[in-house]
Amino acid sequence: MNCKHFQDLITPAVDRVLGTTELDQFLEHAKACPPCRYEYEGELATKDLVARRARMVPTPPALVSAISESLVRERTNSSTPRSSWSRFLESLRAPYVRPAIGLALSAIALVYVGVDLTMNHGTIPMTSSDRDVMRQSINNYRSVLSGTIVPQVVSARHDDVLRFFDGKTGFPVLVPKLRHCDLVGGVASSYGTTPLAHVVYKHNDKLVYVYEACWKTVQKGENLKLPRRVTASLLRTGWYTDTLPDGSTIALWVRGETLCAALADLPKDELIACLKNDESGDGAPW
Amino acid sequence: MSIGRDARHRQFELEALPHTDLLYNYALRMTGNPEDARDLVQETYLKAYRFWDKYEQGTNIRAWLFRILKNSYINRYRKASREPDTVEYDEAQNFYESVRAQTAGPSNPQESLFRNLLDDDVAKAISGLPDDFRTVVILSDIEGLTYEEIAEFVDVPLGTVRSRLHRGRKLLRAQLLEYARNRGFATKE
Repeated sequence: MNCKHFQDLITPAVDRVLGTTELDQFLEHAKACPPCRYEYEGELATKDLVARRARMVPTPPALVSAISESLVRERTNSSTPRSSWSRFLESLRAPYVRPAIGLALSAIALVYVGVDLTMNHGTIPMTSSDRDVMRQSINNYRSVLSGTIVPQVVSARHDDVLRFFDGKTGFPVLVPKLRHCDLVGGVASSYGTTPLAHVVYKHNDKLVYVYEACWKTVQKGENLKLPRRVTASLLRTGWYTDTLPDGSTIALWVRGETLCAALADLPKDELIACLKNDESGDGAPW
Repeated sequence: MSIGRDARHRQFELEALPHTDLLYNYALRMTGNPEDARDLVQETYLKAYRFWDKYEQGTNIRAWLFRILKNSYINRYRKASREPDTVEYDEAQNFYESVRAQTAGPSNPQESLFRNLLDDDVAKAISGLPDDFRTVVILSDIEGLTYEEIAEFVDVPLGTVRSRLHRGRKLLRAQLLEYARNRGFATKE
């Protein structure tokens, strides 16, 4: 056995998973080669030290009780006819989460499209004022839903949410990995027959809501539309931002075939920082 | 076939709750903080309970729970950049080379050096490892999992488990030798 081969076998030797023949050869080499033996003994000593000194500690009884109580609470809550979206959001008010999150969440809209609060299928009747993407986004963001819309995916994993949207919208749905934000989940819906996607994130104690539609459809202006100045800005620069009267920020951008509109109760520079520095490349093109 | 809510709850308690120690210890080593570990484990169990119907009965429930915890840890702590200070690999490697001694006898002199270190030194050295290495060292050397179990938990090939374990222990060793040197138990060449 040469030194290279020996080095490759140090870890399995320390963990006693080498076969007998290989182990014999390993130990023969260790006997004859001091530098290799030093390496082996070093890793052996390290493992032994960690195993002895960094012992398993029992779970504190208070934690065991807290877990049991939260499961019982969850079981009780799941017996009432509320959407799992609102249950999930309510869970963020649990004592182990910062209280500010729960406060903000109780005042922030769940995702829905349009004004019909009894909507179950993600469609709403079309009226001329509702074709406005900006207004739809703002309404969605601000309204509070008491559980009439069933969330379709609640996950912090981008792959899960992306997979959920597969084949549902007819345009590529983006699930940007926004900087300093945790993904909460998404909903696929439609405005009349026009498919839409909605993705929600958590940024500290605020929600960031992203509305997505097919850019071509919006440009046509028939089923969905934007104010002229917004379209002009998107065509010229690829993005548009504005501060709304209540201090929240809306930011629109186009990525390929998809128009995105992000809203949050955040200062403009803070929202832009989340969108601009996303890790997936699907955020705003600033 | 649907099961009643009570039966579902009981099933979850029977199958998932016994692994609390594993999850808590991992959370504790990763966060370095009992309160954060507690929050993480509670969050994990709540998520697991909510998605209990997504768990495939008969498969490795420890691995399933662990993945939920790991993702929660990544979402909470990596994004907030709350990782403890990590040892630079090159720095540790250089130091390791500088204190490498010739072995003389049949005994393991490094074991003698380490014997004098405090438990705090060991805990600090583990906390200082990069997350990927720290995970496999904890799962192997503290929690006693096999390579196959670790590979399933962490969702990487077996070879990657071995190489991370090797590099993680090497980094640990370099840091522990540094502590030993600082306390006067080892001398530089």
